[in-house]
Amino acid sequence: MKFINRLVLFLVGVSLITACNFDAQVDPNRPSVGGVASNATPAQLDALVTGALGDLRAGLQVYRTSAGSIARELYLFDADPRNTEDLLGKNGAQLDNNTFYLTGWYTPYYRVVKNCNILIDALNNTTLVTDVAKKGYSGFAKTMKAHIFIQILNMLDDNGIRIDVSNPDQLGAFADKATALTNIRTLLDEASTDLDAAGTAFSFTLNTGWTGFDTPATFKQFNRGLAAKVALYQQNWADVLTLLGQSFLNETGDINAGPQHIFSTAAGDVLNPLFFGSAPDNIYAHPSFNTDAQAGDTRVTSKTTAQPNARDGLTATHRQNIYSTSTTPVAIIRNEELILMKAEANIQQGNSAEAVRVLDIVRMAAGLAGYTGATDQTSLINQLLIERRYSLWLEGVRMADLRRYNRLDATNLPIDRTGDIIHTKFPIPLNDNQ
Amino acid sequence: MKKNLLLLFMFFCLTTTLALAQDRTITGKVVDKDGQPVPGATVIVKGTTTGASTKADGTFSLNVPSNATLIISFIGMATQEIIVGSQSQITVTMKDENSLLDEIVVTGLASNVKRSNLANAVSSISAKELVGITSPPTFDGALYGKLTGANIVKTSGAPGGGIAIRLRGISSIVGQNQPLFIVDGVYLDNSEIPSGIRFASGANAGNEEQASNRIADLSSFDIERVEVLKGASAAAIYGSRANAGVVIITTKKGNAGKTRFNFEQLVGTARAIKLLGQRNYDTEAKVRGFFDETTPAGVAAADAEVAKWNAARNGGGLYDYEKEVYGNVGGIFQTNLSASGGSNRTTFYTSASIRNEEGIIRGTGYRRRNFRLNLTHKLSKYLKITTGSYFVNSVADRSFTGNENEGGLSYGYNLAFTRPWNNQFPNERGEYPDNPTASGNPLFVRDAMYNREEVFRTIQSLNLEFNLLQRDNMLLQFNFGGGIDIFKHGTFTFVSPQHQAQRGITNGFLSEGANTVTNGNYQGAFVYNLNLGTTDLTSQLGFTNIYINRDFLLSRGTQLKPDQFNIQQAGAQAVDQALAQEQDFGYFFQQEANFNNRVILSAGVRLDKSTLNGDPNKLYAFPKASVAVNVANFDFWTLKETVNQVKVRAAFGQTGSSPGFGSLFTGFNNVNIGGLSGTTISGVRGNRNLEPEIATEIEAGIDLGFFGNRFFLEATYYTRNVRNLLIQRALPSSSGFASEISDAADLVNRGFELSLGGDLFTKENFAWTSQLRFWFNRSEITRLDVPAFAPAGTAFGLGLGTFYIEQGQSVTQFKGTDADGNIVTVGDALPDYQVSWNNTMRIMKNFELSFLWHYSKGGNNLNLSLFLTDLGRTSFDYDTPEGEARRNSTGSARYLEDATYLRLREVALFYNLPKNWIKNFSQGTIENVKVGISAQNWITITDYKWYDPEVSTKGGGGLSSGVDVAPFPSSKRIFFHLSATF
Repeated sequence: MKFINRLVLFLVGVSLITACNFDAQVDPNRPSVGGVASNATPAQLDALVTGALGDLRAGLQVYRTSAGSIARELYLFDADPRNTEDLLGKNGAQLDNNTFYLTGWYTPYYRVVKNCNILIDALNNTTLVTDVAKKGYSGFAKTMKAHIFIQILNMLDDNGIRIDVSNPDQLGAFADKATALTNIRTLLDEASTDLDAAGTAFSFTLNTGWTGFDTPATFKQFNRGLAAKVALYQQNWADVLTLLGQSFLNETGDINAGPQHIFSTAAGDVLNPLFFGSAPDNIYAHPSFNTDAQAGDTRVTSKTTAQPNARDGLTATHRQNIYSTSTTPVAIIRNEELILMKAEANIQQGNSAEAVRVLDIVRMAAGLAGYTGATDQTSLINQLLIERRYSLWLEGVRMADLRRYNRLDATNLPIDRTGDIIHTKFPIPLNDNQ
Repeated sequence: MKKNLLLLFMFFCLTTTLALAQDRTITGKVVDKDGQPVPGATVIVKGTTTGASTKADGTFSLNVPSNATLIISFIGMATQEIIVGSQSQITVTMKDENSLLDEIVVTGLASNVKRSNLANAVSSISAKELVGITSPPTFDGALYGKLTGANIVKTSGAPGGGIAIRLRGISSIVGQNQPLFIVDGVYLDNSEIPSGIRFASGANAGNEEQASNRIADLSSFDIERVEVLKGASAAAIYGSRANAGVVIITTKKGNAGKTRFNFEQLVGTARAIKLLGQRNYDTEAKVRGFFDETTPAGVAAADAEVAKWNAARNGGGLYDYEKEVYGNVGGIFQTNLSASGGSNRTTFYTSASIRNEEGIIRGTGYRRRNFRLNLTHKLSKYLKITTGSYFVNSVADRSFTGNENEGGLSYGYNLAFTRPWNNQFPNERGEYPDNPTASGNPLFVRDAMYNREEVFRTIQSLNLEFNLLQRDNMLLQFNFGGGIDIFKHGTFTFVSPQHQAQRGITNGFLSEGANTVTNGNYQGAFVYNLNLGTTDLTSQLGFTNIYINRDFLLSRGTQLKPDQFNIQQAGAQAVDQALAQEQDFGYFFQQEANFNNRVILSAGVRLDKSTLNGDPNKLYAFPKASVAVNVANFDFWTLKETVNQVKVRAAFGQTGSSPGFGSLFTGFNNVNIGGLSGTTISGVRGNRNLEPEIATEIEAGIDLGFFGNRFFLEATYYTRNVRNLLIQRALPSSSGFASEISDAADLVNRGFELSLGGDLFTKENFAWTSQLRFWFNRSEITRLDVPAFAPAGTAFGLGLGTFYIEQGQSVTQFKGTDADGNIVTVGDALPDYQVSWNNTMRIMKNFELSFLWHYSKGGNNLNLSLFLTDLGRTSFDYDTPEGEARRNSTGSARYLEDATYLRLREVALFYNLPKNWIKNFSQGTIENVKVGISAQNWITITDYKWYDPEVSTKGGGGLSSGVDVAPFPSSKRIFFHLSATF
């Protein structure tokens, strides 16, 4: 009986011991956001820079194939029928405000904005980095935010976008298109000022996709390129030319120069999401891309290759061939686009000779003869849009280009199936529209 | 004053105890209804733990106090109470357990109650009901149609499990919707652990991988009985893990006496319940229909396709790939062997069993090997120890089914786009052709790719029962028990580098998962029973502690070298890890009072805290109270002969469900780019203020028994409110977060359960026991602080139909779009009602025929499998008026179908070889030999247009049933049985 008594005593004791306090739970799987809120270390800040650039790739494929499908640049044949139904407006189908072709890029893009905002907040609350280094971080963060805002605005157009998103519980209102463009310009200019004060080198390392753009001075050339793009959308042609002069535009250089998204097979990295090999599920050029092309245009032959397929009443002849391997980089913005922006600004300012000269840089690069057609403004704009169509295929800008010149409609684009309609912009996502 | 009363009360108790304690010896014999002795029956003096087991000749002897009542029990027979009076020689004739009302039901953490005194509708399932008819592949699959209030859905038809049980409707949207499973006091893990094949298939999430749920590891053969506490009023004492109900499983224990062996052999087959057949491509126009012939390229492509079509037709004919893939007839073998016996002080039960089952897709299968040892030892009259040890190893080849995106793996997806004139068979060099119209060749997938799970699991239980104070009319016990459930779950998946969706891109996929789950729990309770003549009081006071650790590690590789299955050889490697630690602690108190079996009152409270809650040290109280009145036990009841039981009962109780692990944290995810490692904000925002979901249930009912319980009726109505219902609230994406968990909703479930039956015939040559069950559940969202929304991850958006959480509406409603693009309510996943009809007939003494029909009325499925075949123009009904109507319309409403079905779940015919033959043949060594034939899911009658109306493409968690996307087709199984007892 004594043994029993002791055992019972022990067990009752156990029950009392286990009644002790539980500690507050710590996430065993990840670093916490709270950890960077005060006195963030350089390593934590660097991780945010790397993370922003890494995560920027998350929305890449959906963004480009969705915008490209609507602009009749391409078809995406894959398991999801909505790529050929909703996006092409089959039987009048409208775009859903809560489906992957919208949320698939909108959500990750704003996540990168959040990362940039966390970085900016962390800078204000740390003493562990120098003021010069802080300018480098903030110049980077603001430029990347602006880059994303431009892309989102191109999709949502006059629905406007949200610019002030630093407090998740008190998001700013949707800014209309003009205000948004002004805000983005301001953001880029602030970033530019920061970069000027950031010394000769960043305190952080940018991935190799940014080779040539990895010092405050050269990163600023990217920043100015974006600013020129915003000025273009604002139709502020003089500013476009001024800003391009400060950008990495190089008429004699590689037309593909520019910062890039890079990919690798390394652990935790991702593969080029626009590369599908020769699989039947692939990005196909809209047939008109090949049939409308001028003979000998190497932009067509290098960007697409013959591979017929038909799906959902659509017939394609060529698939995407820009990215030849699963680790081929994807350009963020290229010299070629800057050159075309220069041509456009010149056309708009009436400098037709200069415009043709600049256009011909692009045409020569594509293996074509110089432009010999009419040089009135309308003809040149027509030609500019043709060059942009072929130079910037699958780069996510065609939808905005057509819209800028009021051509995003059935008059100017082919209708493949009776009943298809052409969408002009994406709706505000369901969860943002409340 | 109170203290004085208590002392007086105790003094009274003690004196009466002493006055009554005058022992004497009685002897007796226990026999069955045929007069044969029953060895190993338990004889206990009521209100004490004094007892004995009957010997081989059925006799026993026992010291008893005067006025003692004996309780005699034996497995499969009705427990009896005999008042000893002045007798010294007693013969007890046991009857078969044909009346549910005499059962002892496990309800509390440390107490039982007789069914006739129970205030809740607790469903009990005996071993015979569970697996006595046929042999469903898993334990949870064996519960189909056998209890009211349950909606059981299949998440995969693959051998090795994939089942979700919902008791009394949906109790949570993001949290646990499956009941808590407890085996002999040990909390069991029932997770579905994905194999990571989504990284190759492009499925959206782990729950689309159609993994098995871990209850599949339990061998039904070892189970003695199952109690199902369906709602909060019955399960309140289980606190914050009991919102979805509790399933209490008791395994077999040995009985003193001769060692009995039981051998059972099953041989059977599995085949698809049905195949749909394929579209009849009998005209050239149908082939040309794939192309847009307004362009020259389209015409050329159509011409080429027609040539292939003609070539196939002129050759061996069109291929039937559906039959090729799903047409396998799988063999099933199961061997069970058990032994039980023991002495007066020590008893044992041990078993070993092997099940080997092939699936209806070649290469799929399931193999389970398990071993159990249960020991009970009475150390002294003060201490009893019970232990249970269970070890299981199972391997499941699940292959590839369900949703995907461009993976070219899921059979249903591939078949939907495969045209029957394209040859998919390997050439003489063993090379499989690419599928020109789909992402993968289904035959290549079947023959050369793997998706396998392997489990090593041990479940150990230990229970100690101390009798601290024992008098004739009182008993103070301290029970300490608990156990561990530890398993290692390994997964292995392989996709060939030659697969067309892999070749030249990721060049193959290989993954190996090493998932470790360690669950432990222990509890202690004082139980005090006081018998005051006609009044019986039981108190219990105790604590419980539960901890759960999970470590899910997945290594995966792409860029594979040919024929290398070591991930280290993969050119690109990645590792994912998810850790989780949970701990709960709780106190409980319960008081029961039984007044002469006339009025039974019970009240209690559980206080729980959990590390899962925002405040890990806040105690949440879950109270309960119940009353049962046995009207027929009052003296005024004069109809005792005809209506022997009239019980009116009502119960109230609360339970909780803590937020899922990780809901509290806002963190960074890892992202690597070009050799640099970075962090990016996680899309789910943590919420540090979360509290448990609280369910409050009131149930009321009436139980009737007629003619000495020959017939019975049990009717129950319940209403259950879930407060603080956690939802994954979508945040404006521009905040950088996609969602956060918040307690922004309330839900109510109401339902009715009816069970009636009895012994229709009890003639010697024909006995028929029948039971009819009927139940339904209705739910409504009564509060929603956010706008109506489609919960993430439960379906595929409004365009394809989705669950939709909306105030005032059913939680399981489907919304979709009609032909004009308007958002409309299209249906509801939950059935209108269900009926099951269970029958056992004994014919000519030795034949036993059993069958179980199950009818599920209403409820809708989103048939997206059909949507896929429509898209691929391969639907079996593509050219019928129905198919045409579908094609010429738009919107998701057209794919919503009624899921009503009538199914013969189980049917069996057994023959007991005459005892004399066996006795003579085996010279007395073999006691009983039974042979029989049985079938599972043999007949299904439904208008539903896919393989099985019971379907869930999104696994078993949360809101998940009723969405049909390329599932593993269900099987029907037939078995030949041979069993012997010796």
